[in-house]
Amino acid sequence: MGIEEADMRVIVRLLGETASLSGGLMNKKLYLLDGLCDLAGSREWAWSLASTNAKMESFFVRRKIGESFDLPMELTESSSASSLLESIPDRAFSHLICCTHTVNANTESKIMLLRDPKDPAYSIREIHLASLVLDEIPWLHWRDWKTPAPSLSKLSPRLQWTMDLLLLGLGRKEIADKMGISEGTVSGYIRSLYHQFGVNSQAELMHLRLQDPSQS
Amino acid sequence: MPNRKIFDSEDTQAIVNLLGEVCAPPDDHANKKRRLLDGICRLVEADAWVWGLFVELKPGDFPSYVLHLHGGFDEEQLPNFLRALEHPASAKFTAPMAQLLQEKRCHVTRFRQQFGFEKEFLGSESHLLWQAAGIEPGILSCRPVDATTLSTVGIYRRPNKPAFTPRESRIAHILLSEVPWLHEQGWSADRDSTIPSLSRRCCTVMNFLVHGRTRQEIASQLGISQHTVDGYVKEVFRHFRVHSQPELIARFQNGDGGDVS
Repeated sequence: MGIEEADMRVIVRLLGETASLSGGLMNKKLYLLDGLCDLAGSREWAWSLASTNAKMESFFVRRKIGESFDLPMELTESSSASSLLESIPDRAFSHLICCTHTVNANTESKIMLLRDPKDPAYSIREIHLASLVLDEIPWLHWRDWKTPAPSLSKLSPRLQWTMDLLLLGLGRKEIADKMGISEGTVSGYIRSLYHQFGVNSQAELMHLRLQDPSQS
Repeated sequence: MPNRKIFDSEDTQAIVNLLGEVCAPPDDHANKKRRLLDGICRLVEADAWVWGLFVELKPGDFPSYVLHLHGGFDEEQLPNFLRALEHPASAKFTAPMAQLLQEKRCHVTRFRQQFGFEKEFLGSESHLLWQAAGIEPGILSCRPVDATTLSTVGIYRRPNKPAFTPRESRIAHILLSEVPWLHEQGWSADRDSTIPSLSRRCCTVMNFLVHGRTRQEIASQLGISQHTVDGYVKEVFRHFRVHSQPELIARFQNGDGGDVS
């Protein structure tokens, strides 16, 4: 399936702008995925790295574009973002574009473009444009230029779940509600995570995930 | 809807792949440009390219230009290319493009065969000079960057290869017209827009100097005495208020005097 010249131009312009950015891979990735969100009429995007041999290991970055809205049903009802991600087939749902990329023998990267459920479903054209970029630009799925293989931290399932929710920007109370446990327990998990990653706040933790390793 | 042309998936994938590669490693402006132009050549199966800034062409005039970057030429071919540009017989074949630009005042990309002077060109002295440079005029893409300056990309094939197709010209046009930094000398607006109003010979000598040729080489390339070259060089230096060749080169590499941040 081909694409129209006007669409080709928009993609070339976006990629050209991305190429002109200074900064490292993460900087370019943020810019390109934000631009792709605009292009496909998505409201936010998510990126995950999951190890295929140890199911619960995952890495999850997400960024909101514009105003916030409730998480899509699929995400809120899931027991964990990482296990949910594994169950989403490529480009499956009417409000979700998902692209899976094999980074190396045991690591898989997924990038999703999410649309507000209140908005109309993705059109074939939008899915086509977005997947063209997601499929053809391998570094969108990498952590840094030199070593596409990610360094995943080993976390227990509970800690991983907490981590996923923290990275989604949820508060302590919301996390407790979602996991069906007390706020006190969540606090314990969070302390343990902060310690493990050497940070003092959720913002720092989220920032850490967005940072380019080559810059730090 | 004028733009309903469809790009097939092989082309679109190749274009996205290329731009992805250009994005990837941290690199300076000139290298990124080189990488992208090399890539465009691969996409359209071309053998050589040049990028330069030209004083806006008037039909029939000798083009005054600064050739900034090039790829696919060897040591012998580049001087021959400069000589082909300089030759009076060549002006006739750039005239239709100059005319077109005056009418349209926007980014224009054409391949040679579109101009309809094929027969005349193949029989001309100009054609012999191009052949000596190891290439034939192929795709020419010009973008007005300000009132008097044209950013120009030339894309060439070796002689005896087939002509470029409309599809290939279109691919080149889209990439060249939608990536504005290809037409700038640096990431910021530090482009030096003053292209010298030099005489024909001085302009050629200046371009040799910018590409690092010695006076001796220039003399033998142009078939003139070194003493005459010295005179041109002096004039070029005076024009740019520089005192040495490295100073001159630095001026062109750094845009307006060295602000490369």
